[in-house]
Amino acid sequence: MQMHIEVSGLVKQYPLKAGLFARSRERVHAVNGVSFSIPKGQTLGIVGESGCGKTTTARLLLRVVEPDSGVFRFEQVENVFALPEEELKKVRSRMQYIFQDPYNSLNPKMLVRDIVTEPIRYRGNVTRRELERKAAELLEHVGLSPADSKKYPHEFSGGQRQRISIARALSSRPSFIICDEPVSSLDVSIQSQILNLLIDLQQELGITYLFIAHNLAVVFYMSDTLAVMYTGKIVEMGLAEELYRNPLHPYTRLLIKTLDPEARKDPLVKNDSGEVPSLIHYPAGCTFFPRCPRRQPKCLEAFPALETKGLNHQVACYFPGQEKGNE
Amino acid sequence: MNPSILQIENLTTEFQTVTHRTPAVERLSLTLRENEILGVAGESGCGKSVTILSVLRLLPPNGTIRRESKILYQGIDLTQLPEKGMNSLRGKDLSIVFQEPMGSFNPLFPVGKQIVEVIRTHEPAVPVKQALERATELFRQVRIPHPELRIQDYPFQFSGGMLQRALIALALSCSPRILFADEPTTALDASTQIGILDLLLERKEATRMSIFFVSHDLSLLGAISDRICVLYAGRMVEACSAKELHTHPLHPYTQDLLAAVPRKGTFKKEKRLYSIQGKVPDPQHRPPGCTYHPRCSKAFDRCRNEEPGLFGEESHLVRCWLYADAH
Repeated sequence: MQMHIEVSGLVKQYPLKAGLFARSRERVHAVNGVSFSIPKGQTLGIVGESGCGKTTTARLLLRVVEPDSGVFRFEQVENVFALPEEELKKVRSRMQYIFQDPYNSLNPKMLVRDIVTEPIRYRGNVTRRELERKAAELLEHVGLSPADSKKYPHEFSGGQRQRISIARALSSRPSFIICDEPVSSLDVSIQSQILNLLIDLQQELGITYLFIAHNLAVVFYMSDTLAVMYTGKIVEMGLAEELYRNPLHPYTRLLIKTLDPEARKDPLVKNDSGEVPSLIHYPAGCTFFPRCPRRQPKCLEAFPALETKGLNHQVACYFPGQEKGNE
Repeated sequence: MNPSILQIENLTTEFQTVTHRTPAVERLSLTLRENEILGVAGESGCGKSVTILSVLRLLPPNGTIRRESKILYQGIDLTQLPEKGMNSLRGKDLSIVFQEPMGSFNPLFPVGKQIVEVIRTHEPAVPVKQALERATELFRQVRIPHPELRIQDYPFQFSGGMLQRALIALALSCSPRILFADEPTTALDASTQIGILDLLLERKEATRMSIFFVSHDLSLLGAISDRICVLYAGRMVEACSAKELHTHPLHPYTQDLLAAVPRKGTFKKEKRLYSIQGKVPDPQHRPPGCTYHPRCSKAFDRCRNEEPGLFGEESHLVRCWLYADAH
């Protein structure tokens, strides 16, 4: 299958601030060798608890934050991370970002028309009339009225603002959009409007999504492929349905258990300590060790590599599979 | 059926803005029974939190409770109680857990000291040392590891989940009869969330207290509540047992909400989410008739003009004209 996006060996460590003159050698290991690929027009979902490196991964791809190492092949570009600034600008218009908070991500002093066409103006050489036509077209595309283009963001509700963010993301005709918690700040009745809109746009325009959310049911619903992240590493990856029906990593199994309303009675969930190792003193072995129900001495030796188990299903665990006597 | 401990009758809470008097909660009547969990569901702006603040009389200065409202706690009308009487109930008989544990503690004092303060405010006779022992025991009850050490820690030294446990310890410190929980797990990760819910249920059984549990998440409420009351635009629209609400929801709003959220194990290929049109009306411009009619797929003429009363039996009340005949 032709991959639209291929990321390999993505690493980002943040140095800890020491004193004024002291040089700290300590580092926070935010993303530790993440690799994945997404076919054109499909969605890769990333799940994991807060602090696992989901958002850092997304920011690295856009080079909002510069990675320490890694390769990012995108369309005809061999490595986006190696591009000089000028070249990067061209590529960036093909990639867009939808933020979690539609209140802080829209400039309150700008007209909606100027917000949604900003990515076009940035590239220059468009007439004012053309911009107006484009703004109306974009707003209609996301289910707003062209008359809305002369309003300010504060005149809209949360769901409508998120539509404006989506219109802005679409304006430069991207082929890849990163959705970072796009519905978590919205009311329940509005969420499905936005999710359906994202699905429709994908089908119509063939856009590839990287979809990040902490609500598991939402990520499972939206994704074709799913990556489960833990302490900056992908511990399991596969087709969403396959992962749901046949989770192999103990952490994935724990996450899926939590979807069940009766989960609190399950010993796997009940006995979970939730203890995450320090990302500063990154342990040599498997980082899930303290919480793992099937840990063995071997797990402390080295972090298990991501190995293929069946079609499109990879897991990083020495003892993958189901517990005995469960299910 | 357990005897009632809190009866809210005809509660209307209004907010005075520069030009308007806006009702946030309108003519709300509900009953909380002893050792029961009452789930209160609804989206932002529907009056969930205002109901709690009205009962505890913690409304901001521009908020007032209308004179005809009654809030009976063990036969005492809280709306008539002088401030001094309220002070002796708050934190003792009636306590609250907020969504954001970071904002609920004073960052400048150790958590243990803040629990001691609450205990000694309500029971001045208790010596500091004994109060500290009680706080340590509470930490043990809420399953914070190494309670005798953690009791001396400052709020910033706790993770989100652990601090939420500490906040619950604080709320439980004077053995409340009613615990008000305002979205206590919304800010937490899925696996942490379940630990907190389990803890609340266990403490409820151990102390026979009642819990008034507010959340926007219907499936979460379904898993822990005895009864659920659904609010929309300041009014109660449906109230019944948690099981009944998930198996036989009557009000179109409840039905739509349940259809709009991805269920576990559903994928976008299989089923499109139901999209509720429009948005929650803003309190100053609530539509005439049934407040849900502009968004309701089953609305007919009567809904647009006349406001429905509560129909059905005590065990399952619904505010919708569709059920007027059955009455």
